[in-house]
Amino acid sequence: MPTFRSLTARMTSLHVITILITATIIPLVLFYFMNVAVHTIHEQAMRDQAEWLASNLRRNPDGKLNLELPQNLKAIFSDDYGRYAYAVLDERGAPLLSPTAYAQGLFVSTSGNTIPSGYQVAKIGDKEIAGVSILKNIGDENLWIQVGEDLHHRDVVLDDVVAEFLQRVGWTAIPVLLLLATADILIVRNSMQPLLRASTKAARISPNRLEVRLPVHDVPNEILPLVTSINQALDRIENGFAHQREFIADTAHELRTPLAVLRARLETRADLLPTDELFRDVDVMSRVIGQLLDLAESDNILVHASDRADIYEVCADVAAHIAPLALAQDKSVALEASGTPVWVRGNAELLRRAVRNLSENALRHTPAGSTVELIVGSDATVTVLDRGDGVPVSQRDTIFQRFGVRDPYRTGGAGLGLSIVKRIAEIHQGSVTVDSRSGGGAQFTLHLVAFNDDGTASADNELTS
Amino acid sequence: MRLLIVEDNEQLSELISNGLRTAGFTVDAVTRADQALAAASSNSYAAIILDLGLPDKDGSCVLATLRQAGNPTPVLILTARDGVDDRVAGLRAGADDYLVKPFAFAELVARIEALLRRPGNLLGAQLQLGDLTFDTQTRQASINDQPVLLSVRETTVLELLMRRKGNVVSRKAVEDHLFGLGEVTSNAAEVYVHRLRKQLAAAGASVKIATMRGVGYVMKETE
Repeated sequence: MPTFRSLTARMTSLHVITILITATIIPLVLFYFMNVAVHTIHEQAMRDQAEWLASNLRRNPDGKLNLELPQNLKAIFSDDYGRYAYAVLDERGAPLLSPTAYAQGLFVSTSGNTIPSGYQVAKIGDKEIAGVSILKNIGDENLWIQVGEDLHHRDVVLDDVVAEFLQRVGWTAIPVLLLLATADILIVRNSMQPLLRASTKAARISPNRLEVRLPVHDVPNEILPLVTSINQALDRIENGFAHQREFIADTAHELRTPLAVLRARLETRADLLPTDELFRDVDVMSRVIGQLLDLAESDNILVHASDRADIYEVCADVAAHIAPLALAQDKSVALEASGTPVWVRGNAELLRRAVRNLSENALRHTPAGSTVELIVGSDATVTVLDRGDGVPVSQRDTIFQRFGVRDPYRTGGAGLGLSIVKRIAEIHQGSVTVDSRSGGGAQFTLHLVAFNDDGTASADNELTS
Repeated sequence: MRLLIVEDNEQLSELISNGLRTAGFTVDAVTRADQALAAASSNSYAAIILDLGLPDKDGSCVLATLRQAGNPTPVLILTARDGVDDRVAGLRAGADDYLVKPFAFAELVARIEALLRRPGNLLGAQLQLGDLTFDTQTRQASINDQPVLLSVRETTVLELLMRRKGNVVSRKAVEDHLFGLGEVTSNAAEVYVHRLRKQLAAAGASVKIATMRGVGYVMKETE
């Protein structure tokens, strides 16, 4: 038997098989019992006939047996009528009296000695005679009185009843069984519903969507332990993530505070040390720590299905943040947007980091006197353009890898910035791509998922809950 | 001006304290949250510098307790994380400013001075950038003590840019401030920034106002 992956299919197939077997067995059993009943009734009728014959049997004073049948019985047992047969035999089985067609008696033991008592079927000529033999005491002797009925011509009613019954039962049983099968399939499907709901919900769980819990409502008791333990496992995982985030926050504190101490110490020795270079070193270390923490955190942050962010505000914030830095390097920052909110699915702070990394990257590469441009697309995209050397086609995949730096000198970057952007894009079911900008430079685009007013993500309906 | 420093790293605390004393402040330094709350309730500080990572309690709890008790003292948060943390987000609401470690000491002093200049505080009637000064009381701008004559709207824009010197002031922020002075046209910000720029250039100020398209305006010293 093939095994089905689907429980419904499995239950349904087992059910169909059961119904087929039942549909075969029930008529057979019924047929058997009906036949038994028919035989019992027939035997009783034959016995009654035999008793009746016996009561009309006399031995004449001349020693001849005489059967005085009333007119109606005579007709029934006549050769012409041919349906009923009788015979009278002596105790040893020798025929004494019978219509000519049954000169040897009706039921004779094959061994020839005894007459079998009870219900018998015998083939005589072209007839199939079924009936009984009873031993009766007539006068001072025991005689066998046999009465039988030709099965080929017997009282049609009983046989017809059986045949008719089978047909009717057949035609009634099939639709009933089919109805039963349909009902069963529906019941199975219906009881699978909570399980299906739980499965659909479970499919939505990912490391970024741990807040999803399987519904316990309506779940059958047999499956409840499974669902509950999955939910508990998810609780533990979510707690683990929370602890991880706490650890990251603590790590940040532990790493940044000594740097702050170092920087403050350098400031008190500004007269003796080449502090500008040392400050730059502190800044680079600080940025590397920041990026490592960002990366660690982006691996641990949960973006909830209902989270939304206005990327216009995110970009305006980032542009304002990097503007003083740009100005200090004689560079500029421009933001192109409609000025109205552009809602996307996701976490505003994470997206701010992604855009900030792209912008800082662009700012590092764009030459003095040029402008870093941020474009907020109404199609949930953010494009960051610079006038730097651009990214060769051969490097367009590798630059998004950790430590796959865009420039070989790693000026101020740890080679983590773009991998953080990629990771954040992935968390948001989005992507980041790089192209050449017409007129020279690089063009990075962050593709996100629009957040509609009805709370659904337009590009991927599976994200909603 | 008495300041309270709440920082568990004793070296950093000492370095900050010494620096601020040199800058003319009176400084109390504590290392724990309970000490911070005790000090803040028994003394009146001009400002509190609060580290988030304290050994006994989170810095944000200290801030929340202070604010619940109705203590209005400006608080500058020192944080190791510039970011998402719900803690930081919550803090931004309760705290007046925050500074990410490691920071330049000059930046710390500038932020403290900015906090003390806010309404209700006495310090800092004077805003200064390059050779340009602005008296927030008399609303008079001057270059090398020579008064510069500006219209009311130009003065409003100047004050806004000088208060946020070196940082971006969005076009919307400029418009919002101008709106308080009556009807503004859609390009009002541009118009008044442009006029102010011309006036300052004509007076020979060592500052410039950079326009960042779509982002806003930044006033900074010219090199």
